[in-house]
Amino acid sequence: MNAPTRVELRDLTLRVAGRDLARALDVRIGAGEMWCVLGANGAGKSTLLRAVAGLARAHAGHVLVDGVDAHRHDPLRLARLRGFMPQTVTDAFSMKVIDVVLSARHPRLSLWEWGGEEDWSVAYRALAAVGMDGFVDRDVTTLSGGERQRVSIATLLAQEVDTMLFDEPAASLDLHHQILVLGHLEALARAGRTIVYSIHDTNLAYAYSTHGILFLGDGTVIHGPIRDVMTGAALSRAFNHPISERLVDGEVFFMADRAHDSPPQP
Amino acid sequence: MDSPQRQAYAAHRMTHPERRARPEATSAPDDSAPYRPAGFARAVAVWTVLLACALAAVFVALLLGSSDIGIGDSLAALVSPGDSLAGAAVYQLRLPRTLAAFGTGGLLAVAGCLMQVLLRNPLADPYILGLSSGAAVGALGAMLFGAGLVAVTFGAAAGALASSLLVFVLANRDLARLHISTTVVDSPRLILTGVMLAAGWGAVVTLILVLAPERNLRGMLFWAMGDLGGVERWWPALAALALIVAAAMPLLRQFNVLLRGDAVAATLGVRVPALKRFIFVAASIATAVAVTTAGTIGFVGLVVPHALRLLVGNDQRVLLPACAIAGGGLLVVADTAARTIVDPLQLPVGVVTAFIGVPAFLSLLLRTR
Amino acid sequence: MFRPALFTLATVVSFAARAEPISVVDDAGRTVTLAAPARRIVSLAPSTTELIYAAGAGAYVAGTSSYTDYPPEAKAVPQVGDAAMINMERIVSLKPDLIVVWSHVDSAAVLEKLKVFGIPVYYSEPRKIVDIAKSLTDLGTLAGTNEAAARAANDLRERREKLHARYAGRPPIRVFYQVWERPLMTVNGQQMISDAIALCGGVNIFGDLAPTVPTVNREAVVAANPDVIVTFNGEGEDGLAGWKSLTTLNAATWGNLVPLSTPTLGRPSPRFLDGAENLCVELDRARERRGAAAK
Repeated sequence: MNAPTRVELRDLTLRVAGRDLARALDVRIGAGEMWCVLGANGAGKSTLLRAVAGLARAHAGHVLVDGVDAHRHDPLRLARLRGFMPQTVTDAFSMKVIDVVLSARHPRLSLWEWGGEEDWSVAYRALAAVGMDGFVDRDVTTLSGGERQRVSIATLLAQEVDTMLFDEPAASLDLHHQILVLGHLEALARAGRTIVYSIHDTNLAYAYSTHGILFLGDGTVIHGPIRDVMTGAALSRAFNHPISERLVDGEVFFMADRAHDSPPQP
Repeated sequence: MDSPQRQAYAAHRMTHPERRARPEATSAPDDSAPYRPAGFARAVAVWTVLLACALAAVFVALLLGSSDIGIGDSLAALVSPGDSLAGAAVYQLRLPRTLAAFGTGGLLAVAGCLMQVLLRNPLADPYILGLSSGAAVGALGAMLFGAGLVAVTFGAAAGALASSLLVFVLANRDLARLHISTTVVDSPRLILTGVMLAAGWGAVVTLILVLAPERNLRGMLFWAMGDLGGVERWWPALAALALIVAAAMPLLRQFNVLLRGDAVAATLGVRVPALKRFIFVAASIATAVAVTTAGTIGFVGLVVPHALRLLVGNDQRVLLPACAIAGGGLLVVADTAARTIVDPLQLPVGVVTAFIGVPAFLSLLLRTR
Repeated sequence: MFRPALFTLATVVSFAARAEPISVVDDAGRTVTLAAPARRIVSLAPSTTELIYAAGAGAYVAGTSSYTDYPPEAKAVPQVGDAAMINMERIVSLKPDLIVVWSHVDSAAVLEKLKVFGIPVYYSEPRKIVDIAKSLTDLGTLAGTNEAAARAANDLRERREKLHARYAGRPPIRVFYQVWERPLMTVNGQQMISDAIALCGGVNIFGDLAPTVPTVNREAVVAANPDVIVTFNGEGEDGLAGWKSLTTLNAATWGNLVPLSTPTLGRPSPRFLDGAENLCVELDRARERRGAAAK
């Protein structure tokens, strides 16, 4: 199954404060794939996502979006190809939820266009997809953390891009909404979009991803189909904690060892 | 995607509202139509109403004045000035002053609105953040060298720009984050930074006035509280207001995006550093022209965007032009009050705006973190 | 033994100095008493400095204020700041035996501190032209230059009388006195300039306002429509330009926008009379222009 490549990392090195997070990374991310980004805190998940989004330049190497270096794209053109949801978005002003989601229609509108019915229905459907369609005229500053997170996700959905980058889309969501959101992302991937997202819950990651990128913490990064990347041994190394694979009803689950005083054996 | 057909489609939708499709909602509680944000037509309606109010304020300002000139006389003079006393008062004193007040108020409100977008904080205001006093120092400095109107305005703009950059850098605690900031500055830090800068500039103003006590530098009162009584030219403020609003108009949708944060804005195709540079410069010029016209008048830039946000929401495309109109109207009202309530004496207009602005500021401060 | 002789000498000297305590009542109604004529006087306003020199006591001035410019020899005297910002240590180090204050400027807090040092303070606050003569006489008494002071006071009264006799009875002319253009300031009836206007047969259109130096609305001036507007222009300045375009303003159409040539109406000193004489001449010319326009 050779899907067209949407994002390509070419010889990418990520370095923060003199420490290599990833060295000479070569990854091809194709259409219809859903990639999880895993790793311990500070291992480089956000840095990678920001580099792919074109927000930060990599220390070395290139990020190609639809075959063109991300930094060579016109920003508006790039905004019609890929979207990014940062970990936290602070809303300083009272704004209606629908207005927030509609702001993502910006790259789709010409200079003097105001945005019309079509944009409104895209935004409305995006809210419905995260179960927030009842909140259309609510003030964002009055929402709970999880509700805000879902608005942010809806905002990225409303951008209608083929490549969608999420920094911890499941954070601060309750279990039901984690499943709802990840299920929706999975459906989008099945329909041909490309999803790259960071997540802490290994079991959700395993259940909802086709591929994975795992930061081991020493500059080494494992990537590829999810079954190759997510193994008990690799996860134990990445999180510096013993994690074992269990089979329950034929499905793989990862379980962290309760004894947290013994480091994993190399 | 964004083709002429699309625009035609949008225009068609606007002119044929009855054809609007029901949203393809999956699980909408669907008895009442879901909320729809303001379209362009509603924006025009908002501006029209505000403009009507502002024109009414101007009209009243032209009629009110010295108790020796009756409202009836003023009204008659407005229609046919002739060579009457009321005609001179209306057309030669009240009209230029009112137009200058409108321009100045609009500039201050727009500057406030711009700084609020830039700092993503509703408490930002050119007076509170020290831009006005920075502009005053710049203007005084230029006057010391005997500069003309244009050079004085440039000096004021330089002072305001220096002040806004200082606030931004100091409040963010990081020079490198001038372009991409990841965090939102918390209000106390921002306000403290601004207040300290304003105090510092105020001391420089006093220093200049003490060391160079020349009459043509204008009095302390002018730089401290503002005054529209001695306005020489009414048009620079109006012209600057029109230019800045016109320059900002095509960017206002980007302002909306910028309010979601630099990272989101950048990934949505906004050239964040360039947009921020534009805001810095536009807010500084607006403040500079306002200050050289009427001295430092406070709180217009705070009160007007705040009140309008409650009325029309936070869509910058509606808000910024509305600020220009309502800010102008508010200062016209304030100035009319300043020159009529203690007639024949006159109050500095900054006293009147402070009476409106300080309670508004405090209530805002209590409601934000 | 030297002691008795020395004792005697000291007694004689101190007796001579203590001979006659000097006492006057100042403009604040306080009695100022000196054991001996003042020999080290600190003056806290340019106007009081002029008064002291005019009273013949210039030789005894030990300190003056900022902006002192008259008489020329006063500029050489050490300055101690002005009434708003007094350098206390400087004053005390000059060891004054009399401090003269123009109480127009509020410096009560500072003067309160001066009391600690026990230095006598004389308040001069002339409100009418004749009050200047009283200040002159008082200062002459305090410095022991009574004769010179009396001459100066008499001279002042005579000059005032002359002006009064010549101009006060002429047809009244309504005057707007512009102190400052931006913000627009004038004087009320309590201010000495109004006394000069009255002396010249003029009427201050804002004489009834409560503040001594009120900020007024331009429109109020237009509404009052004075016969003449006078001001003193600073260097390279035309404070009257703003009025020229107002054709309904009689003062503008009659050519009665008058810049004064002497700045001395700003100071309650003998030179005030120079300013008053100049004002009377200008107002009389304005009166003639009014008459010509009426024909």
